[in-house]
Amino acid sequence: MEAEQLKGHLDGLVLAVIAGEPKHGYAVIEALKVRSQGRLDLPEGTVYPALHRLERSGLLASDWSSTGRRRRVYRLTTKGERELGIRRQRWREFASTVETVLA
Amino acid sequence: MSDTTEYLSDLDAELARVGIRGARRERIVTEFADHLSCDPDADLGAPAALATQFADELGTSFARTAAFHVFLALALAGILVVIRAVALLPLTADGFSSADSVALLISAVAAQVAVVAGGLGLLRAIQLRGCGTIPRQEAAVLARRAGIGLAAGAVTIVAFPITQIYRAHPSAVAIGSQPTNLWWPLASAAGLVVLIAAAPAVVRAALLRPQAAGPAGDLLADLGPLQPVAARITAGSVNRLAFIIGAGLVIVVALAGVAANDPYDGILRGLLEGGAFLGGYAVLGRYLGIRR
Repeated sequence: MEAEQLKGHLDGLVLAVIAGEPKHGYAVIEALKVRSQGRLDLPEGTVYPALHRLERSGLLASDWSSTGRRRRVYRLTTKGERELGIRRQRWREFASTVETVLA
Repeated sequence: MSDTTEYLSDLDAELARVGIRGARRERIVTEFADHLSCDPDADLGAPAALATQFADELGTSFARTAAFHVFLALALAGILVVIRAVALLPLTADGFSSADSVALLISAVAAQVAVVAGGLGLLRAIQLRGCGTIPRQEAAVLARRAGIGLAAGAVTIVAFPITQIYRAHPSAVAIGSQPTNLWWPLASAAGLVVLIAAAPAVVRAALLRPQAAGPAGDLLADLGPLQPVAARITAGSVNRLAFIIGAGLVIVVALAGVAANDPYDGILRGLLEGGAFLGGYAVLGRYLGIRR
């Protein structure tokens, strides 16, 4: 899947992979690859600006890891959980509509 | 120098170029260093493009934060200016020198500029809610509104105390000798502290240089849901909207004069207020993103 097709969906995808458990940047990108079975062709570096923006808008929070290497670990905030729920709902409605038309 | 070190050094320099500094820049470089230590062959992209993307994605948030901080600071400072005005009430006109009067006039004009710039900054920030990336020109407009609002707020606060601190004239002694007037220097100092607290957000927004193309909005864009109505009334002309607001000011102030049984004074004040508004629009309109 091309990066262009992901525009507008990246925030939701990032929120979804962090929802399970807090992750650092590299783990977020790996989780996106694994969960999409390698079909998300995402320029890796572009995820970090999105992480910073999502944190600035209060959907994510982050802290330095207290163990091992110095790395920033991101977690979903309550606002982020709410936003993820909204995005999931919207996506289901959108996908269902498109499916109905295409079928 | 290894490839990784060189890459991180380039990224650091590019982040500085787009105005990302201090702890945030250090954090970004640390995150990329961690990524490269997990996967030394990772293709993270060109440092210049990444730095630009950071500036674009953080631009909206930085600009909106600056506008909100400045508006909040101006609101608090406004309360303190009112406290100061009340504290100064016991003074008779005899206690004021001509320099004090000029300082108070400057203070009054600056207060209006602060209210307009801070208010417009808040309006634009509200309009940009949910906006992913902000055009470079729009970010500059918000930073200017916040900066002008803050500077005008500071002038409002310090104009009068400066005449007291630097001019050792009799009224300074008179004010200092009245216990009730301890409030006005305290209120002035507190107001200044509040405004200084908002300054870092404005500096951060002003330094950041998003690269996204696109025009900045104007006064009509600031009106949000009222924009279609205003555009219909003014045929989409911002100049016409400014003239209508100026004329409205004249009428409202004149009516206030009539209500106070002093219509002549009301009309004169109204004309001054309306003229000052249109003068401000002509001088600062483009700079503050009110007109294009």
